[in-house]
Amino acid sequence: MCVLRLKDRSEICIEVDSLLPEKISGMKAEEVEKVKIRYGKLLVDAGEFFDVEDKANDTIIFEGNLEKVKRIGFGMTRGKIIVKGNAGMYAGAFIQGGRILIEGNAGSFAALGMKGGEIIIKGDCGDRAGSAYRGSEGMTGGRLIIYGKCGNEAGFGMKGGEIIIGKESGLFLGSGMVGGVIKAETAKRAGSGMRNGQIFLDRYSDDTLPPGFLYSGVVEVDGTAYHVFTGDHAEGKTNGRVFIKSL
Amino acid sequence: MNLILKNGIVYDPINGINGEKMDILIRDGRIVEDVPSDAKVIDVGNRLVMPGGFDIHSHIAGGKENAGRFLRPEDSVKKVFVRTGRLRSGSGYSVPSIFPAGYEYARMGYTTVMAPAMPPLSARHTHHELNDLPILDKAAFPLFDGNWFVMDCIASGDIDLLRNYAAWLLDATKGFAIKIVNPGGTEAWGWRKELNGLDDPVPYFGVTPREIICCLMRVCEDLNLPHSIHLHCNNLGVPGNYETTVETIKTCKMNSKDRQLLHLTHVQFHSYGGDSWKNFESMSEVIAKYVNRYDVTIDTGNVLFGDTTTMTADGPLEYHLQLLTGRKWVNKDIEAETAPGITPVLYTPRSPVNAVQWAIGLEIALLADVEKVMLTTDHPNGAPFTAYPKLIALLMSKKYRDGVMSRLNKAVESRAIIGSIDKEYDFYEIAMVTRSNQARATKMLDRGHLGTGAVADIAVYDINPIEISPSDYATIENAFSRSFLAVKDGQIVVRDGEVVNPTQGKTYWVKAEYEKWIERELKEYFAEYYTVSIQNFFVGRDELRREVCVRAQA
Repeated sequence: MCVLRLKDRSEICIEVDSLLPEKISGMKAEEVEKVKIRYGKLLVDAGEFFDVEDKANDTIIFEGNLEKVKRIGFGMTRGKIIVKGNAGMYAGAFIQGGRILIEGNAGSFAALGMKGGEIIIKGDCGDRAGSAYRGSEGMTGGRLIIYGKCGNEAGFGMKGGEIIIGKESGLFLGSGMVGGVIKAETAKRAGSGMRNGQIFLDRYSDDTLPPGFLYSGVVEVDGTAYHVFTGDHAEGKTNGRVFIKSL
Repeated sequence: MNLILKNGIVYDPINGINGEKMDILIRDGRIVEDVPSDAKVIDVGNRLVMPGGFDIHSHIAGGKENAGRFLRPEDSVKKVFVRTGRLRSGSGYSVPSIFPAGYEYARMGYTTVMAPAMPPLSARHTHHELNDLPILDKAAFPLFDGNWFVMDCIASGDIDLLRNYAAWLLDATKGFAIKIVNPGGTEAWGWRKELNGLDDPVPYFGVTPREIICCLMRVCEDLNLPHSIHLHCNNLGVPGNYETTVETIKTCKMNSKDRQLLHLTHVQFHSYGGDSWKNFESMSEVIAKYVNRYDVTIDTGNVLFGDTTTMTADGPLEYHLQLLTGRKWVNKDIEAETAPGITPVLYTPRSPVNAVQWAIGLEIALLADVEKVMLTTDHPNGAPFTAYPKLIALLMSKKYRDGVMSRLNKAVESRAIIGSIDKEYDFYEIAMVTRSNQARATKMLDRGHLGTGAVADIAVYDINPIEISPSDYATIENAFSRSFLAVKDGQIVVRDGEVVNPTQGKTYWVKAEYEKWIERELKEYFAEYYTVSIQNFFVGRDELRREVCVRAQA
């Protein structure tokens, strides 16, 4: 498996959407070093920023503090990427298949417009995780798992798939949702403008639900009792539901 | 630069040249009979040679195009053009930014384009954007349809005032022709009313669409403008609207001089039968019959499958469309003039309506008199203009049409007649519908042909038209999408499908005579109804980067 070790942290962002398993699989280390990546407005060799070990196969490992490295696994369709450290913005954006494991934190727009595959983030995540690209329809499939906290507007406009957030989420979790499932510990103004789909929360905190939600009793899901709220009735006809374990 | 294109197989309908092998001589941007001996010689070796393409109806620049770009950031990421050499960057698939729009047109061998819907108040914006359109020659048609002043003139029966106003507005907006969109319909919608036919009066103003069309047609003929009125009929996209279209065609009762009386645009959207989306059907045969009989020309407005953005100055249509699709929508109210709307649509082969729409566009092109047809997709309403090569291939190959049809919703077999039409266009007819008919309809007689004295706008395609068979549609489509050589004003602008020389085209506008007193009357009107003063409304000649004034002799 191919290891790409970041030499030193660049102040200007690097974009590595050319370093995907399906693109570099089968290349020797020297060939991987010659792959062009974007450095600010310039195109440079990958070797300028990364030490490459071993020839590439379907698994790529990134090492180092990759906070300024954007577009890891951007649009990938197969294979596996492991990031040993933090990842920058757009990690796993538009992913269609394969798996990404980020052992540190991820920046904003992780799993943006996700269509399939699986992304696991061990740390925290920035804003708009698993949300729609601006103007377009949201995540349609796949699974995004965040162990830590996540920022605002996760799962914006979601149509399908699954997002699991271990700790609390920021503002507007699953807003404008039309399908899919989101689970989180707690959230603020969850499901605003949702018309379908489900949001599961462990506990109610201040301002968890926007005003368009109505309480509709207790139901049991997989052996756990949840308080169910339907909404967002501000949108008119809706089938959206928010399940909260304890009020 | 002097240039000789040797051994091309030339199609030039205006001069009756149908696939003859000949040389074309170019001096100082014009086609001539002889050139100095030091002229550069390019042997194009039996490739297809045509005049430069001419698109008569394409929404490429202006206020609503910009609103469309704002509305659809996701369209922008679909196609990104990176800056290379002398070419500038840009983005967008169905609403591309202005630089790539010019490059993409030139790559297909197009050299002239008309921006067909310019709200007078957005004229400055439109012209400044068109100034940045590389390579192509262009012109813009100002909108007259929902204009309060126009309707007031018609209501009071003052044709003299209307004629002066029309001439003044063309001058003020540096426009080329009178464009009418859904006459009266947009204004009526502002009063929460729908006009169902040509004789429904517009609320408050009390004029009917028929009066608007006839009066403006009269004015257009009196002013002797180079292009006739350019009309987007009432009831666009409504099942059963073919009756309105036929009624509109029948309004052509005047004697015309040397061109058509009426140009009907994107006729595909106006040829629907049935009375709901459930029994929606093609009425192209009826429309084609009337088009052939009356003094009108048409452009097709073909629909091709895929994701696109619809934008038109027909505000109510876009409003109803977004109610159907449930997608995002923008309406741009332009004060006392018009109200364009924008909403994205996805044309899918599975949908019975979309499949029949696809068929109607082709049927009209195949059934109507080929001298009256012009090819458009009403960019971006039916499809982006980059779909023209595909459209050309579909018209040239019955096999291609049958292949596509087999993958469509079965409604296309029972509710359209495309399956029964065997006609295939040849290259001569393709040259007519993409070049010469447009030049004739706009009386831009220096283009659309390759005779002596014509502007040296030439497209060479990498295909041997004598040897190619219509069943090889993939080759035809490929050849038309990347011109082997494109020449604009005698300069080589495209080589092997890549733009090599981004030149600057000209903007054409029409100057018709009007009397000075009109400005005095309009000053009061502007003070009362507009947010800008008349001085700030008027677009000066110096604001067009390379302008050509066409004088209309009444």
